Amino acid sequence: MDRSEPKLTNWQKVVTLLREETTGIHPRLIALNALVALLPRHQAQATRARLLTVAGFRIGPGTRLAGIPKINGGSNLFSNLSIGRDCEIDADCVLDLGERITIGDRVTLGPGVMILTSTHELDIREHRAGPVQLSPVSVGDGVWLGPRCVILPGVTLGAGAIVNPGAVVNKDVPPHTRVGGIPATQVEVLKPIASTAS
Amino acid sequence: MQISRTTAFDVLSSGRTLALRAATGVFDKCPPFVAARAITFALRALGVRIGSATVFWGMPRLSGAGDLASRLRIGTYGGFNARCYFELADKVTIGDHVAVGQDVMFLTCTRDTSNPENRGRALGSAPIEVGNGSWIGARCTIMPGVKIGAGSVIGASVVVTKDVPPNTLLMGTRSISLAKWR
Repeated sequence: MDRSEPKLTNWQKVVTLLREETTGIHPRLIALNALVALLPRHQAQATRARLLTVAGFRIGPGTRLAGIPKINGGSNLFSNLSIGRDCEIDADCVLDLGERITIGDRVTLGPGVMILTSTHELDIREHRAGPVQLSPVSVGDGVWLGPRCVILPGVTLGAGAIVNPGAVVNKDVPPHTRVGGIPATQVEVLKPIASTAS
Repeated sequence: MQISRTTAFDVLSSGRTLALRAATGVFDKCPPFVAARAITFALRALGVRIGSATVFWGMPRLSGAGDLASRLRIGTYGGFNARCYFELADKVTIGDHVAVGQDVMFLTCTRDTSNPENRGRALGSAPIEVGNGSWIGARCTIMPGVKIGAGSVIGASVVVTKDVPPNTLLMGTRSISLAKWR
């Protein structure tokens, strides 16, 4: 394999560096964060969802956010997140939008939940963190993600699943199952009660 | 009680620490992955020994008293994700080709738990060493005095309280040897 890189002039190097240094700047996101900094935490939850929608994220009606999650990602960051309706999202969440994160309806995210979409390949011992790998995460309807749990890239959570607080989920979770621990294992099988009370 | 005399060196180094704190305050406002080279350059300029081609993708938070910069030493070809936290009561030495995820904490302050009236009194400090080529996942906590061996991988959200042997994959309380794997 020919690994020779094309020779760059100094000017091209400067332009490449500047581009790399500024790719993470999303003016709409910065404006959103500046605006939302005025709102007190755990207050104005519906307003926060409204502002996120105005900034360009797809968020269903009735979703409430206690704090703006920490968001990072590339240029297609705004199209990479979709949140369903009537979700409750607590403060200090981390959403890594390198790939798609799909959150269903009536999902509850506890405080400090981290959903990651980028990881590294496991490489040689001299440099374990190899090339970056991106894979999407999907959270089913009615899921509860406990406080400070971590969802690793490529995971699909079935409808009605529960993730215990502090768990690290690295495999797909079947519907109506409670998982917990590091790495997350099945703790309990929940009853999928089909209630049409409303 | 010890009376310390302020020397010219102290004034200079405290000026550098003040500048480091000011830089932390400024670069904290950057979104992750923005101005990464500028952050790394600022840290280098303010006395943190960082090897070539290492990049801080977000400004780390540095805590501790006195000359912080001299206690942090980082090798070449490393990558540090956003919101890393270094408690620099003691030396934190990080080798070459090390990758560190987001929200990782390096703690060096030890606690005296023997007093029932005050279980968390500051006792002293212990250094942290991270070997070459290791990879520390997101939201890990590295406790004081821990040595992570070369080529080890720490999974996400793990609290590392004991030394990690070289070429080990640590995930929660389970550990798997990677010695036969590449």
